Amino acid sequence: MNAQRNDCDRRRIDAFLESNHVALEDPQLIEHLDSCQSCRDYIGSQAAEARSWAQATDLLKPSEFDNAGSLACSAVTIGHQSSEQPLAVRNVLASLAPTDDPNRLGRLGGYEVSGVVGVGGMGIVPKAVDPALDRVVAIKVMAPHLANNAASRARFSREAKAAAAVLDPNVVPIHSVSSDGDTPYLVMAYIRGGSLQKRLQREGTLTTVEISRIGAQVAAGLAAAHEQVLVHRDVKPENILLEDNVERVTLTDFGLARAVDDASVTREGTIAGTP
Amino acid sequence: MTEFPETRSNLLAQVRSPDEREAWEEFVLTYQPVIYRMARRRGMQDSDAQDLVQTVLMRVAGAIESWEKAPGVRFRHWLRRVAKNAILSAFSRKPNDPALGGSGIQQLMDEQPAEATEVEHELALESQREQFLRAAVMVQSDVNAETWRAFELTVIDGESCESAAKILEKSVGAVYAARSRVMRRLRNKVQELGQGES
Repeated sequence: MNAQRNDCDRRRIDAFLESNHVALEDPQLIEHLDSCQSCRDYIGSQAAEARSWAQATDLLKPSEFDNAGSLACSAVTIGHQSSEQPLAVRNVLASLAPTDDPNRLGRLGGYEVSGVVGVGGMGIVPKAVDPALDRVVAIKVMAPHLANNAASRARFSREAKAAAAVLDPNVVPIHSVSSDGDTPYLVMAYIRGGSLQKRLQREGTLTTVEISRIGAQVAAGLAAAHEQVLVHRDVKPENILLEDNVERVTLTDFGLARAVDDASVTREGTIAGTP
Repeated sequence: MTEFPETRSNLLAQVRSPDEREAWEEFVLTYQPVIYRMARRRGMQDSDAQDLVQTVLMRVAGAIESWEKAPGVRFRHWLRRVAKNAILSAFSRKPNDPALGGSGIQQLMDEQPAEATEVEHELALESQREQFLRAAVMVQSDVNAETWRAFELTVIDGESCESAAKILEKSVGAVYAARSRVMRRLRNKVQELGQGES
């Protein structure tokens, strides 16, 4: 905090900004910046024009469509396949509370997160253990930047209510919901196995018997939902889970489901669903 | 989850030379999310928006056949011009009626949809946003996490430098230094990305 000892040195600031060594630090300069407003202004104006600062603020602010539309999407397009985790995954993992168990990634509510089993439009799906009941669960976590959006939150809690209302062997059971914290999440049973989509990709065409078996169970699950006056609206192979070694088919992801009397969900004439 | 599987293989078959291929890949990388966001803003759902992205890119890809190497016209620039027209015409219609059909290249070039300037402005803004976002990803992987966080908190999340310093448990001076350094790199990267297009 001693400005006398540590005088303004503009060239030092220029050198600091231009340095290509990211690790290069300049403790004296930083100490000087602790107290000198004019050098703070100077380093800011030398870093970039006021317009660029303003653009960075405007353009980098996450928008509602960011999950698919920008950073996360840029990373999965042509030729630039990055091994980096999508933004949504990093965001969610960064928001986990620390855990005592070295084999876990972190803690969410009372659940010990051990991995990520899926990434979707609304957030990610970590796999976790419920230590109290010692069972494996899948948690659908809303991406933190969407959690600030009232419409997204409403949609998320609608999904939770919709799915929790349906009790059927062919619909993935919902164990619990937390929608008021910083990170809304939905705890579901973890289904060991893969989606119908994965199976189709792996094995190609199914036999007629399989098709009827899966079809009948999906229909049963939907019928159970319809009894609760719910329309799923996004039935597709990815949302149909096939349990390992058991001939049971479960329907998941009521993200687009709506109560028949709720007209507020989508615009007229648009087609809901995800490809 | 947004991926655009169709674009990768099918459309690229149109582009033959390595130079053009690079320009095309760059183009798709930037415009895919741009078109997607514009579509979502118009109330389209994820799947519809992706369909529209495909439609527009297919249309542009289809036009590539009729591109002939003319002296002084770079493929990159030509591509941007065709894309701009395709996007403007797609968005100047109702979202439920995306530009489809066998329109020739001449039609594509001549189309002057109504309210074009407004959409044009939006397109320019979204393209710029994409440049910033891509630059941000690159810069973020270059600098250490705390340095990035100082920038993110103060510039993107709107925290003051003082409160960012408290959050990061760093001195205020360190926050000023870190965010300025990130900003400088970000600006340079954006300029670099922009150069390919101007």
